[in-house]
Amino acid sequence: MSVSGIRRAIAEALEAVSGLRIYQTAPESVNELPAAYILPRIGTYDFTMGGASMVHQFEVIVLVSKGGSLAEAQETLDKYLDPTGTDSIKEAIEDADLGTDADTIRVDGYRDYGGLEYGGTPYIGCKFDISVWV
Amino acid sequence: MAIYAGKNARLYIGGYDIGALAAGINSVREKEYKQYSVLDGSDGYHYMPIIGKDTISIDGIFDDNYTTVLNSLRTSSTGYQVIIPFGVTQGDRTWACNSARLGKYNVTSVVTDINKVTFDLVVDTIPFDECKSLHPAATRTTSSNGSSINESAGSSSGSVGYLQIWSLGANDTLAVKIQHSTNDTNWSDLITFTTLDGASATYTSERKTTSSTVNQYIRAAWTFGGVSPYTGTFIVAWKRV
Repeated sequence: MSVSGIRRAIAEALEAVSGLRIYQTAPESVNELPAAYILPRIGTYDFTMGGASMVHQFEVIVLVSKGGSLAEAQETLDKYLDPTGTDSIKEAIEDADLGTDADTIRVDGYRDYGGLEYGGTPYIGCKFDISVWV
Repeated sequence: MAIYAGKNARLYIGGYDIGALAAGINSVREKEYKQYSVLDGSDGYHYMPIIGKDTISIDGIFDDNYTTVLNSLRTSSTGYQVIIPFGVTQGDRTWACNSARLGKYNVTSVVTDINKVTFDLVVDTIPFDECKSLHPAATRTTSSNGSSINESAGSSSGSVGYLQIWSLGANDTLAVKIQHSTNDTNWSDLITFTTLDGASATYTSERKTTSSTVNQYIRAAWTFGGVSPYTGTFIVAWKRV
């Protein structure tokens, strides 16, 4: 029942997406693309009484290369947005084996599709919002 | 003034700790009033209080681990004791009733959320007693007594005690009492609950009343018997009438 355990489970689940370089934590620099890294963003404690229940909201940020044509970058990114399929970020994450770290997980949606900067380098990317109930 | 955080409320129903399921508890003390009029020159109706009609509604998460519990409560032909402490500290306000019946529970599924459960109980025969927690729910392994509560003064109209035990070692017996004192030093038994034998049952609940003098200081005391090591989990609530 830990944030790092959930992060690990999400990372392992994302390995099902072929060709995606997964960083469990925010990397110093992104050397391989397309890439995804995982951040806990918001935590809400106590959704029941007397337990250790809480909701974590994670973010998975997907970055693709801006090199080449912009259209090509968008097409690479688009396939990750599908709700199902082999490249679907949602499907991969919701298949995560959470073990004892959490009860259930849901990918709520994506946002901020477009230009993203990381470590001073511009990329094309988007952010997926994930809710995890513990 | 004592303000309790909602997260510290608890819900114990018939030997089950349902707190980990509950996100909200709505305990209602209701009394109906019958209107009547007399020729006394008044412009409005008079209202006569009728008997109590208390209820409990619980909103929570649907956790499959509790399905068996809810089904057993729903299909029971008898009511179950309910104790609702609004805090986890000794002396905290606690509502208790000796018999509540589960009338309805429903599960709501919404695609953007986890499944939620709602269940409603009606309080049977005797309305809620507004008690204090004498022994907050805890597991004990040795015979002892709790610290005392100073009620500022004694009284002469009796009291009501509640006990709910929801686990006891198979080789253990557990005798729980409520004791009172005039000086916080010399103690005598006020209420003696029925001794539970873990060999035959691991759960019991009991409501007992007294009708005479109740001294200023109150405490819970418990004595294990049988074969050591002992273990028992229970809660004691009490109110002065």
